[in-house]
Amino acid sequence: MTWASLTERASTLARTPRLLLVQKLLRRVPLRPVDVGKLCFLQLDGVPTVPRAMLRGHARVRFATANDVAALAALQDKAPLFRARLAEGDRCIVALVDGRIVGYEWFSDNPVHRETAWGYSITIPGGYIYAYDAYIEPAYRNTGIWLRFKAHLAEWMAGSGKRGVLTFVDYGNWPSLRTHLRFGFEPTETVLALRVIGLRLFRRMRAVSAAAWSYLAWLAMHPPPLHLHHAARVLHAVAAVAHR
Amino acid sequence: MEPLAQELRTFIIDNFLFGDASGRFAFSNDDSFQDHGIVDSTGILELVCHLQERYAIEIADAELIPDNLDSVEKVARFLERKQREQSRAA
Repeated sequence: MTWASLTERASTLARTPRLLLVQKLLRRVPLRPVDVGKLCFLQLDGVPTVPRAMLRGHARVRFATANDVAALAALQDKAPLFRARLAEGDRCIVALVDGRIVGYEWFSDNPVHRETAWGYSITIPGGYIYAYDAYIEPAYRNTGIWLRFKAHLAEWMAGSGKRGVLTFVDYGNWPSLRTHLRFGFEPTETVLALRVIGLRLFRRMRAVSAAAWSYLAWLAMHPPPLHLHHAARVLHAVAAVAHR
Repeated sequence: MEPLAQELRTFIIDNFLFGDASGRFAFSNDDSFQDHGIVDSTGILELVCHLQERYAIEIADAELIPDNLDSVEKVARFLERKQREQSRAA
């Protein structure tokens, strides 16, 4: 290992939040008896809007049926889980390239959704859709498929009278968090999750701290000429304060 | 720093890092956007829309590859090449 790579590694470690360092260490333990994580919940009040210019590539999207489970399982080996989700009424949008499924995202409008990784129960407000478990084959990850999922969802929501989307991003997944903020999602709450062997503990925290609320209140009193990106910048500042 | 690279860097920081390129989000012009968590795949498409509008170039789907778009330096080189190609074609 060279000096340069050592310093690069030390700098990366220094920049990594403590929770993620602890998580990394715990996940190196065989059988992972203890695990910790933080789920950052985000909510979009309204139907997703995707600029047409961003719908690139030639992927086609549609809702999955029970006949697609084998193709979904070819991407992620979770056929029983996929069948159970469809049986519970959850919807799955799939992306097809040359007739082959290359990605998917799941949606639920049931009142409660039990999250798979932590077993956390998520309450879905009436009229809202919970978006979860998106996967796109690595070769197709820069082709705008996630946006096609959102555009398809928006079309369906408009026809079904749905009025918002709920989702969560794992703490530390900054690019995804920022993408959601740019698309108008707002942080609602964070959930600290701890698993010790079979025992699961959750601590819910409001996503916006008192300091951030007073900042928002100040903004309301002194409204700047808000543009989408400025609004997102404010939300990012709020999220940063809340996640500190 | 070249003006084009500086302009691209400003766009990246303003739009994808919400103005904050300090601490854990600091990056150099050679750093990979995806490896350093600066821009994700959706952000790349937003960047492409910006490049097409701001610099009046056409970017084909086949050109949406990391070699062209995964760092400030790569984007600057790609953009200069596209501009040269378009001016030759004109």
